[in-house]
Amino acid sequence: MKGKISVFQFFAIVFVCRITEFFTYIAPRESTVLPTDRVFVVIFFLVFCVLALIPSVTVANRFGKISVPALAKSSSDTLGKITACIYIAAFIWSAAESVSRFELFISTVMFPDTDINMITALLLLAAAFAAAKGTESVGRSSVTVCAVLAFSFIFIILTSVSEFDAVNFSPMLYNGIGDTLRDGFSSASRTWEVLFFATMLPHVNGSATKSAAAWLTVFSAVTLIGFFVIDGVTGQYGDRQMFKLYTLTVLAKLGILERFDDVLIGIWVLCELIKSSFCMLAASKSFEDGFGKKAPKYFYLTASGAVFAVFTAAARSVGQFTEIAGSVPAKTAFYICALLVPSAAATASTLSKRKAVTDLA
Amino acid sequence: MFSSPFKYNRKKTGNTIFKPKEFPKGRKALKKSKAPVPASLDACIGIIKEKFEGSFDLLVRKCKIQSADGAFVLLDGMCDELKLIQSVITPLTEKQIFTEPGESLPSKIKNVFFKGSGITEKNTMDDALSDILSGCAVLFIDGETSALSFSAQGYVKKSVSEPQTEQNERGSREGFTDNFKDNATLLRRRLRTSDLVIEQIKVGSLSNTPLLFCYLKSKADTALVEKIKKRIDKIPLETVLGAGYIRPFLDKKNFSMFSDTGLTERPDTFASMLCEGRIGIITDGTPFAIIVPYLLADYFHVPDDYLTPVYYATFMRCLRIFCFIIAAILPGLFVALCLFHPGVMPSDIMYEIASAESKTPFPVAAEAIIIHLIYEIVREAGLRMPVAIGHAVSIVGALVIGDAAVTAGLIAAPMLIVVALTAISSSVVSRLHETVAVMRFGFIVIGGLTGLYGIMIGLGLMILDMSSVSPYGIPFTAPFSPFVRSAQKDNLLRRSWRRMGKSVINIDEMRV
Repeated sequence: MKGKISVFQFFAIVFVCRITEFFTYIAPRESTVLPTDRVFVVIFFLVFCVLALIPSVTVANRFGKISVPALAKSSSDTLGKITACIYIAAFIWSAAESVSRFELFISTVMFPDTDINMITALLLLAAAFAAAKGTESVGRSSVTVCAVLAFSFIFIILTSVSEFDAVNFSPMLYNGIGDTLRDGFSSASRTWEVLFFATMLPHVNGSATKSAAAWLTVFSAVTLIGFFVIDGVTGQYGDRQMFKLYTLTVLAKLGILERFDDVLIGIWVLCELIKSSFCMLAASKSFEDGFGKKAPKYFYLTASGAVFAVFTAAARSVGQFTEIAGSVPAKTAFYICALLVPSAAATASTLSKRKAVTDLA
Repeated sequence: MFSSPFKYNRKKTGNTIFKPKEFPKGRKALKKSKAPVPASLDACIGIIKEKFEGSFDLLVRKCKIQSADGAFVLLDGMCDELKLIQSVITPLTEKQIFTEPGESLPSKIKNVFFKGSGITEKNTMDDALSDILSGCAVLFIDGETSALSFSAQGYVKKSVSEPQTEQNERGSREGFTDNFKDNATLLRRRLRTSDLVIEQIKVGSLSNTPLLFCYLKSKADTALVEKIKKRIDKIPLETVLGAGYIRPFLDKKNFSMFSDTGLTERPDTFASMLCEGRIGIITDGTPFAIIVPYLLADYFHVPDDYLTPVYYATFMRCLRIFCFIIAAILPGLFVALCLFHPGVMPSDIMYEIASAESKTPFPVAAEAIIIHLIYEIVREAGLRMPVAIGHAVSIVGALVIGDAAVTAGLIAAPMLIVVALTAISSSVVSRLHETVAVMRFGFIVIGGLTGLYGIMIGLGLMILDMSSVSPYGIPFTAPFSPFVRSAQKDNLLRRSWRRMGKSVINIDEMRV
C-alpha cells in the first residue's frame, strides 16, 4: 500500500534507532551494577518499556490505528495541536540526544581533532533529504542497514570471543538490586522510540502489538548478548571505559586487521542517519495529524536546524550531556509523552464521543 | 478539428486541381489530417510532390492498370525495386483484371489478384504517405478514392551481430539490430507462443518512430501494461531517435541516480524479462530495448548465470555486488583513510602508502579526482574513436598516465592501483557505469572533506536513494528489501533449474 511500511520494516527502523543507544551506552558514573547483573538491568528495562508502550499500543488497537495527535484532534483542535507540538519537541530532542552522543564519542574517544559541527550539519542535512524521500524509503533502507548491522555485530562478537574470560563475571546481585532497578528505569526512560508507536502506527501495515513485541524481544536479546560478550571480554577494564562497545571493538582482532572500531563507526553513522530521518518523519506526521494540514515545504530542513540547535546547546561536554539526558526533567518528559499524552488523548476522545451521543439523544 | 493543409477545387470537368495552401508552422503542422485520397491521379501526385518538395529520392513510376492510369510512389533506397517489379508491377500490368459492377479496382487487386499479405488499402493521404515513408510502394489509380500499399521494403540495414555491450561466454551470440522488425523476429524465435503480444505504437509527431510494445498476456499485469501505454501515448516529443528519448518518460518524476527502466541489447535477456511479467519496448533505429520495471538485482544478473553451475553463478553475483561497491566508494574510502584515519590500515601498508604519497605534489583528494578525470577522458576517447585509434588511445593512456606519471613522481603508485581496481570493477557492472562514475566523484569529495563519517553518510544516502525508487509500485531494492521469500530462488543465490520449479518468479510478486 502506498506510503505504508510493513511490520518488519517498522521493526527494523525502531531496532536500528534503539541500537544507536546501545552503541553509545554510557554507564552512569555513580552506578555500581556488576557485569552479571546487567541481565536484570535488561529485564527491568523490558518491563518499564512494556509499561511505557501500553498506552500507545492500546490507542492503536482500540481506536483503529489512529495516531495519538489525530486522536487528540478528533476531540478538540487545540488538544490536537498541543499534542502534535509535544511530540514534535520530543522527536527533535530524541534526534538531538542521539546525535550528541555520537559527536561526544567522536570528540572524546575517536578523533578529537574532527570538525564536529560540519559532520553533524552534513548528517542532519542528509537526514532531512532522507526524510523527504518518504516513509517507504526509510523503511526499506532500514532493512538494509539492519542486515549490515547484524553481520557486523556477529563479526565483532566472533572476532572478540577468543578474549572471553568467565572470571570477569561476579556472583549475581552482589551489590543488591537497587542500582540494577535504577539503571533499568534510566535506560527505559531514554527509550524515545516508544513514541514512534504513538505516531507512526497508522503508516504500518500489520499488528501494532506484534511489532512492539518483536522490537522489545529482539532488542533485549541483542543487548543481553552484547553486554554478556562485552563484560566477558573487557571485564573490569571495560567498566572503567565510557563507551563499552567501542572498547570491545578495539580489543577484537582478526589476523593483521586490528581496528574494528571503524566498522562500529560506519554502522553507527548509518544508524544515526536512519534515526534522525525517522524522527523528522515522525515529527512531520505528528504535525499533519495534529494540525490537520500538510507539513510546510521546508519542514524537514527546519527540523534539522532545530536538532542542530539543541545539539549545539547539549553536547558541549560529556558531563553536561549526561546530566541533561539523564536528568529528572528529561525522564519526566519521557513518561509524560509515553504515558500521559496518549492516555489523555484517549480519555478526551472517549468523553467527546459520549458527549456527542448524549447530545444526540 | 485541424484542417488539411491542402485544398482541392473540383472543376466542372471533374478533374481535381491541386492548389496548395501555405503550410502551417509548428506542432499544428504535425497533426494528422483525415483528407481522403483524391480520385484524380494528378491531385494525388501533386500532394505527394508538394509534401516531399526538394527530396531527390521520391520516385513516381507511372503505369497502366488495365485501362486506368496509375502511378507507383516510393522512396528510392527504402524499397526493393526488383522485388516490386517482379512480384507486383509485372503481374499487375501483364495480367487481365476483371472487375464486377460496383467493385472498385483496388479492392479487386487486394482481395483477388494478390492473395498474399503485405497489401493494404489506404483511404487517406496521410496513411498513404506514412506507408511511403516506411518504405512501402503505394499505387494510386486514377478515378479511385483509395490507394494500395505494397510492403516491399528493401532498405539497407545492419545484420544480426553479437551484442557489443553485453558480451557473454556460453549464451546466444545474437544481439538486437537497429531494425525493429528484425528485433521482433529475434524475439518471436525465442518465445514461440501466441501469448506474446507485440503491439506497434508510433511516437514522435515528426519522426513517427515505430515502437514495439511487447509483453506476455498470461504474465504481465494488465494495469501495468495500461499504465505504461498511457505514458508512451503522452510522450510529447517530435523526434524519437533512440531508446534514451523514451526512458525519462517511463521513469518517475522525482530525481534519483537510479532509473526505473533498464536497457538490453540481448534478445534472450529481453525474452526472459518478459517471462517474468515485465514489459519490453523495442525502438526502431536502435539495438537497445527498454525493460520496465527494472530492479537493482537485475544489474547483477547476466545470461551466463543461467548457463553455469549454480555455485559459480552465486559466487559471480556476490562478486558483482562487491565490484559495484568498490567501483562506487573505493577511491573515496582510500582518500578518507589516507587523510583522516591512517591508523585503520595495517601499519606496513600504511607506511608504504605514506611514503609514496609524500613524494607527489598533489593532495590525495586532488590526486584522486585528477586521475579519475583522466580515466574518464581516456574511456570516453576510446569509446568515441574508431576502433583502430581507440587501441592507440588505450596504450597512450596506460603508458603515459600509468607509467610515466608515476616515474615522474606526479602520481603515487598506490593511488594508481586504486584507480585501476575501480575502473576494472566498474566494467564488471558496466550497466551501472553512469551512476557509479558520478557517485565516485561525490565520494572522493565527501571523503576528502569529512573522512569515514562522510563516506558512511554518502553510503546511507545511496541506500536511501535506491530505496526511494519504486518503479510502478515495485520497490527497486526488491527482493532484498522488502524481502520476498519466493524470489530468493533467483536473487543473490541461484537455485538449479531442477529446483527452480517449472515457472520463474513473476515481477508482480514483488509488489508491496
